[in-house]
Amino acid sequence: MIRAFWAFWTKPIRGEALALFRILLAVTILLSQLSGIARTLPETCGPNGYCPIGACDEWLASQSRLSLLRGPVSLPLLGDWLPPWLIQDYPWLNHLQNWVSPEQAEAWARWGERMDSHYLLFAVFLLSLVCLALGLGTRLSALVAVLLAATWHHRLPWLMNGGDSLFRNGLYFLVLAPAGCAWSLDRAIGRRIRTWLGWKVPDEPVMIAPWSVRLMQIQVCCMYLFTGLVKIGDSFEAGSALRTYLDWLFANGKWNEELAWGDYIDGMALYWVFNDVALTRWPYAWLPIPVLLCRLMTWGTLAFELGFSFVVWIRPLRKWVLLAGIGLHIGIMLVMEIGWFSQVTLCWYVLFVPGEKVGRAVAQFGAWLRGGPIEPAPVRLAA
Amino acid sequence: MPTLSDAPAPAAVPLYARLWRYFKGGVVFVIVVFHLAVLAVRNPLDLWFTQIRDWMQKHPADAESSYWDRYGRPPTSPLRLADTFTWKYTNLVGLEQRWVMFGPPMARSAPFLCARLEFTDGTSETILSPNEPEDPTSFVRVGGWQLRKLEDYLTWPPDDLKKNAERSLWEAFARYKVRQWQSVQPGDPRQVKRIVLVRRRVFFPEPGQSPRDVKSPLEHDIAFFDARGKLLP
Repeated sequence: MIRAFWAFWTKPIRGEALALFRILLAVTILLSQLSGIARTLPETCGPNGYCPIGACDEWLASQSRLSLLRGPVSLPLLGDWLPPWLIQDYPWLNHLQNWVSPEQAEAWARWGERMDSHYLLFAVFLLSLVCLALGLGTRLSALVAVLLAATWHHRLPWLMNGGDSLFRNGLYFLVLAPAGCAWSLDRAIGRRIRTWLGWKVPDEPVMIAPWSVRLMQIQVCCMYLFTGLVKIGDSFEAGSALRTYLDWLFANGKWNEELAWGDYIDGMALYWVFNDVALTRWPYAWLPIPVLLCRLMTWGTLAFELGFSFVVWIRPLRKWVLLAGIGLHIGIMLVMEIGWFSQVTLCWYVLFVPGEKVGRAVAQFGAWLRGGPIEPAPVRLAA
Repeated sequence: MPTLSDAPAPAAVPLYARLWRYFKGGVVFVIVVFHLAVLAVRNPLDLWFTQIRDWMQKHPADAESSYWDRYGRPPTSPLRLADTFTWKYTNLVGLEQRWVMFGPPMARSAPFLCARLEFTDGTSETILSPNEPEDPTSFVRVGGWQLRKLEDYLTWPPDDLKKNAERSLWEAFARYKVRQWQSVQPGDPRQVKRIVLVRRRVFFPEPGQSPRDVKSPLEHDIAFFDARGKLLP
């Protein structure tokens, strides 16, 4: 058990899955930005735009959120970022903040109000995503993309949804991970330089330390587990189900018999989702799914979300869990207009596929595109 | 035949290389443990902060200090410190959790935001949201998810909108609606006297009802603005 745990975190893995995740995520974010913010930028952020720049200043400062369009707000070292009580107890820490003077901060914020600043930062954001997809200066591109994704997320928080949060998480992890290890210009340039210097250029598959990929896999599991847990109970905001669990587990061991189970347990949640004329792509009246089927789909979704985090680690079942997830997200994408949430989520699935398989699949796809012979998958012989 | 003793001894790893390896391993260990802790703390707290805090302030009931110190300035309980630090960190770097997708209770109605422009001559015009289908039993929707998110937010203004830091958002939206109207009716000589943002709720048919049985939207005036888009009391 301990050995398996140690191997999980330390045994090198092939880098192709991470590289493909990097490419898919960057391309998906790029498309989401081009079909989202880019199309409405003058309307939202223009001089008379309906998302005025100062509207969320208080929110930015109070929640430690950064936006390069609003000056050094919440930026470590440059702005006011340490809690006041910490400065009170340790006044010397004050040297670690507000390196940008109030005048400079004001000038920075004024610069951020201009429309050409918006265009500039948006163009840099898109460029960083292109570089990330190509694997050019991969880690730096990821860092720039993280900063600018935060900037836009906090400039237009009223337009963002779960897909936007999920891609920001992905970008953050790409800063930590050796995402340019394969299928990147960084690697190609590195190999060219080694050849030119007369150094040895290894031809073996790229192996990476697994910990960054493991963290990302755990992030996906957390997402599914908690989105499943909030669905148990009548209202996640009231937290009635959670209070019952806490009391039952830690306090009095009594189960609240009056707990109302809500829309997911009674199976009607998807009926209401299909009827939501603000979300769906077509009306329920065109395709009235029977209530029984709605119930089965609701319970299936709940079981998938609660079970994913556990079952995905069981190797023989992994393929089926991932296929179920692909079906679920394609279903969401087809039925509901909620932006790029499903596409971004599906990018993460590639992290659960072994790098060997990803490498082989991409090679076969490339061969198919070139019209050449497709290399057959290796066959496991019976003992 | 060479014996084991003839095999060349493995090259000794220099001390600096070993130290560098240990250092790297230590850094990775700290990064991994830190992120696991962040995920473990933030996932429940981002969803149920109030409930967890309230529960921890009351438990254990017989202890002098609760799991979550109530009045400590600065915070002293490890849980509260962990919350403060991880909350700031995740907000800063974009590692927010709070995974709520289609959380219960499910909506029984869909709100749409429309604007009613009232003119000085006593007439008025209603501008519907581009997201609101003309016929809720017959439409096709492609795109518009960002505007829907914004309108979702605007349809439920805070009670104290006049004093709210985000008031300018509602005012800007009211002005935007006037501009939208002016762009489709450029020659209209009427002068806008007042702008009213209206929430229109389309209620869904109950299970067992005909799916075509969608009633007319319920309208509710949510905010009033003067002709220049300034919020009226």
